[in-house]
Amino acid sequence: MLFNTGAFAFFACVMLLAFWASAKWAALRNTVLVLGSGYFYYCFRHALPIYLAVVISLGYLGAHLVSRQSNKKSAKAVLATFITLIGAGLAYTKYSGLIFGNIPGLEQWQASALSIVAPIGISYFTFSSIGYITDVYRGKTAAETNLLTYAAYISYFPHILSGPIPSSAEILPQFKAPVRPDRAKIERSLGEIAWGLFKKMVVADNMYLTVNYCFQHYTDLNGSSLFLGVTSFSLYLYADFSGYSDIAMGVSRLMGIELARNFKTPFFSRNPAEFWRRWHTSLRRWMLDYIYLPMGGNQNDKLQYILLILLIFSFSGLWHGANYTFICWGLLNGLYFIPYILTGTLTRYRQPPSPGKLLPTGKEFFQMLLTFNLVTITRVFFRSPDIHVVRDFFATMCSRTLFEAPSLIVLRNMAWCIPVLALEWVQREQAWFMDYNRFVKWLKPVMHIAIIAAIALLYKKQNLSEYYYFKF
Amino acid sequence: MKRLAIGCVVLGMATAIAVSSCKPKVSNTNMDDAEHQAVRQIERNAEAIDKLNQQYPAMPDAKIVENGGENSALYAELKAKYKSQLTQLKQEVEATGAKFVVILVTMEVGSGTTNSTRFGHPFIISACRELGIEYYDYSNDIARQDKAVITLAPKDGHWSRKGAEYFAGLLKPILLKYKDHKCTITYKDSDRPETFGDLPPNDDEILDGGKDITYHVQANAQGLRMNHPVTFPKTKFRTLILGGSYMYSPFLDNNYISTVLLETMIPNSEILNAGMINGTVDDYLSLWREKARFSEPDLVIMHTNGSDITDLYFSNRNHLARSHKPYPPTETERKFYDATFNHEKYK
Repeated sequence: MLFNTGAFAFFACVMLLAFWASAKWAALRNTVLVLGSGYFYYCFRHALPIYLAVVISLGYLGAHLVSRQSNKKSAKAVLATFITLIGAGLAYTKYSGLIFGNIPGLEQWQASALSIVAPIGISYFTFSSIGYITDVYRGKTAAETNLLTYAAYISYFPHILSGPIPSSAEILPQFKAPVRPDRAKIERSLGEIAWGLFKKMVVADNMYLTVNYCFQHYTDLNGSSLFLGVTSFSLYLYADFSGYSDIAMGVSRLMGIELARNFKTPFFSRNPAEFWRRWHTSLRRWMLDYIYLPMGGNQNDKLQYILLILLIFSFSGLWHGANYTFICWGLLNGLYFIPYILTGTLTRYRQPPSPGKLLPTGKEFFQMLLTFNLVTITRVFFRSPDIHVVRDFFATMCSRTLFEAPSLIVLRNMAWCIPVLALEWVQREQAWFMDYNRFVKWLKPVMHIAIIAAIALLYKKQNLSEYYYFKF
Repeated sequence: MKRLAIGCVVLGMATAIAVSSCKPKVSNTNMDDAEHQAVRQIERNAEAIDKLNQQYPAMPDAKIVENGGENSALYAELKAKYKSQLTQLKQEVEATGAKFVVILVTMEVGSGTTNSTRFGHPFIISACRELGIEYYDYSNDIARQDKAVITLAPKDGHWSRKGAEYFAGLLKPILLKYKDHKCTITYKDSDRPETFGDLPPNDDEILDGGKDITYHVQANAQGLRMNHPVTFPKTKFRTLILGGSYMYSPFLDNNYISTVLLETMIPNSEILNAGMINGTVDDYLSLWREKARFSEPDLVIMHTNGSDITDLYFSNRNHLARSHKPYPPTETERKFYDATFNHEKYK
């Protein structure tokens, strides 16, 4: 049941009706959410809710045991035990191939050899559960006494498949607080859903085949086409993933629950650090809270700081997939920080570029272009099935054919993302993308109608491609 | 500044909408009576097909030769239909002075042979002999090849790049044999339709057939899968290929399909690839009559195989035929449908 299908639209309507019918009673409301989310998850594979129930039980039990420990040492031991238990499923299903597959004689212990498939969205709810227990251990969150509330929080259908990874301190209380319908929130939600659907169904789905073509036919294409191919992939990935996140956020807000914004116009970043503060922010925040800061963060000396950055990005690479290509992707992204750290130019920008202006300055434009291209180059590792493809892809891309005319179909494909980039540039300072009130009143309804019309007219009419991020 | 920003936003969306609305649309204004009648006929046909498809949604394919087998009344009826259409196509092609040749190509060889091929194949050969049609049966040759090399197996059974090269090699002797044959008819430019094939003119897109094997399909201005337009008067030996998906060659870029390779193998020839997915003799006949004959080919090669006979069953046609005309069932077809899919109703 993908978010851009009629089945999901029907399911979401039923859930909204049931949710608001039971809104007065938190227990009943959460029961509706748990049952609905269970059904939603069940639709992907029937056995999945069982695994999810195990992870929920472990998280609930783990948090209680941690909170009951009288001394820090035993609490830490309990925390470590439950993190290991919860993480074991993720580690085994995702990484057994990388580990056992490379040890002669142990190949039969790979998940794939045992026909075990990683549950969809496993990383998201595993990370949520680990984050929650850790927050309880740190005293940031009280252990939730009501299993139903906790189950509703972890299994919550808008974020279970592709995030955002919820922060327990921010999201969990919302499952207990009273909810009231709010016209402004509904309006905002519908705008977010429409914009998310536009990015997913019009931009990402239309770009998908050509992006795939570039990576499947990299031996037939010249350097400039491959460069445009990987650029298209970068833009496609953004449209697909951020579109999905926008829909999740909009659907969630219709039920009165605010999810964190996962993307903040990342392609207008002026250095890699800013990019990662704007891209998949919930994962970044998770890694910041549970790995980076406990290890000292930027309070370390320069060498330790650099090593920590490389470690974080390698971990991020591993999270994306059990393949050396992902580790290389992570490492390369980490390496980009080194010159900035060494020269002390890793500026922490507080505002988007050129606030209040229509165009960026020349310096900002160059910074954004450089950052975008640095990130885009790493996508070759991200998208290629193995390191040999990466090598051949780069060999062609860095050859003299880079200066030849690109394949027209690849060039044309990039036009799909122009409206997204243009609109996001105009709206880069707004907390809410569809907030056009600073212009004229009639613009907002016009934009809504234009987006809906564009979806109806331009959506990709062939097979729905699976959301790229489901496999993570 | 604000106005400029608003303008950019609205312009962006308007452009996107305008791009989509560039497709030609049928308008009721400025349309003469004949056009209006034609549009009405298309609408009536579409309604009739919809109705038939709702009433008879299933497409039995191989079941036709499983339930009742080779000697059933239904299969005999379909074979007769096939033969009749083959006869008409041969006569109409030869009436233009062009040479008509049939090639039998199937990947169903050895143990993987279905009844459609097992029974259909010998019938097509005997029909060709009886009608005096020159035919080339490539099944034995294909059976000797490694399928993993010549097809995209296990992902798909159509030609791989190597397979397309191999297939072009099979077709080459036919073209060389008839390279001096000439079509005797010429059409006025005003008589010719805009297209000779069914692909969207100047189509240029990436497809993957839902199999995650992307390919770049390009059609010329006349809706044929080839890299250059068909011009008149012709200067080269012209071959028209009528056929199914093995001719259309999904999952291969234009430059790797057999017909494009053939053009490079035989420089003084041009190959008009009118291959279509799910085609059968009924489609080739209608394409020939409607459009393809106006391309003035010197040689017409029709690709066929055993399943083209079962593809003539009325519900298959209503779902897949290029003509978009309704195919009501014959009494035999209806009885078979009820017996196969509506057991209760049939009782």
